[in-house]
Amino acid sequence: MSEISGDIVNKAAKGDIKAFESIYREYFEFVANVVLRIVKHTDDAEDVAQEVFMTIYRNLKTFRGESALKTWIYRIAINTAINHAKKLSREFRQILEHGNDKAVAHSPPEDEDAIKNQENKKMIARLLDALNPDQRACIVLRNLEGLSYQEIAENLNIPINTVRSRIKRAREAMMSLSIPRYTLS
Amino acid sequence: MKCKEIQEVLLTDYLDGMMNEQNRREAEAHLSSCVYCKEFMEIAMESTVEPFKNAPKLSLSHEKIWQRIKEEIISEEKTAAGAGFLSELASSFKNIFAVRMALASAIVAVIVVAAVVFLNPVGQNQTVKNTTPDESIQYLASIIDELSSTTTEEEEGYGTEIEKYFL
Repeated sequence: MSEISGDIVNKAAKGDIKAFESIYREYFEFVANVVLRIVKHTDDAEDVAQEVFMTIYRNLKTFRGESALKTWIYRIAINTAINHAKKLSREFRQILEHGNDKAVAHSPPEDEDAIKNQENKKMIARLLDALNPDQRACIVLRNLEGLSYQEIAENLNIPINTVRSRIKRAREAMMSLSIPRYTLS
Repeated sequence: MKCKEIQEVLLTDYLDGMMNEQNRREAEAHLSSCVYCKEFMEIAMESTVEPFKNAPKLSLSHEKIWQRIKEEIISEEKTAAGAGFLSELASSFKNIFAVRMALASAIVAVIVVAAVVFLNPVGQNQTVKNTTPDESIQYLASIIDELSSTTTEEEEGYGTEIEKYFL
């Protein structure tokens, strides 16, 4: 993923929709993946992704380049998704949906690889379902996006030891889901 | 390191390859001598790290969401433009009101000046002097008296025959 130039950022900040589209195309895949992993439902994830980019559009003029644009966008995406997931939890909505086929599959699996792929997706969804939104965000950023603890801390604006703690608790939860006897007491 | 300590480290820095060389060696030394911790580490790797390897990226409908965003931006701009027009209109009304107020004030000022000049004329054999309102009123009353006395004289008649005839 290459960085967007300052010129494009300035144009987008002044309302140039073509320039903003460049930013959208550059970061859409990351935003979509993270939001969908954290929020789970496709319809909700679409709304959240839209909200993320509208927040970016409205606030570009206040972006002063103190952090990289990528970090700034990641932070907006992750925090918006976490807040949405927490809101859903508070409203007692069923956010944990096994499989999430609608989100991940555009055509039914036809061969062995596709079936294996589908099972893998279900396994990941089941593991992430066992976590709260904060833990889920840390695992998505670490295990799926490959961010370091330091990068996760910067993106979530939390201390690095909080990242470590959330990852530890998340993995304990995932282990006890797989094999209940493996829990740290 | 005790088993509990090593297991905590295994779940984070060790599994993620973020331990420094010295700590990693210590952990591996423990793992080579503790069957329970070695099994714990293998299960942890298998159930919390392996499933995520080579996981496909999930995605949403790129174009659909862009269309929605574009519509929202356009809608917001229209609203902002509408608000701008109303604001300009309100500002214009304000300006017109201010101009009219200034004009009305100027007219009132002219009337007041004219009244003062009328009540206190300058010229001919009179000198300019400061007068109080009472003096102005007395002056006005004297003019009226003069006028009325003139009229009385005229009413007394010119002493012509025809007047005598009608009287």
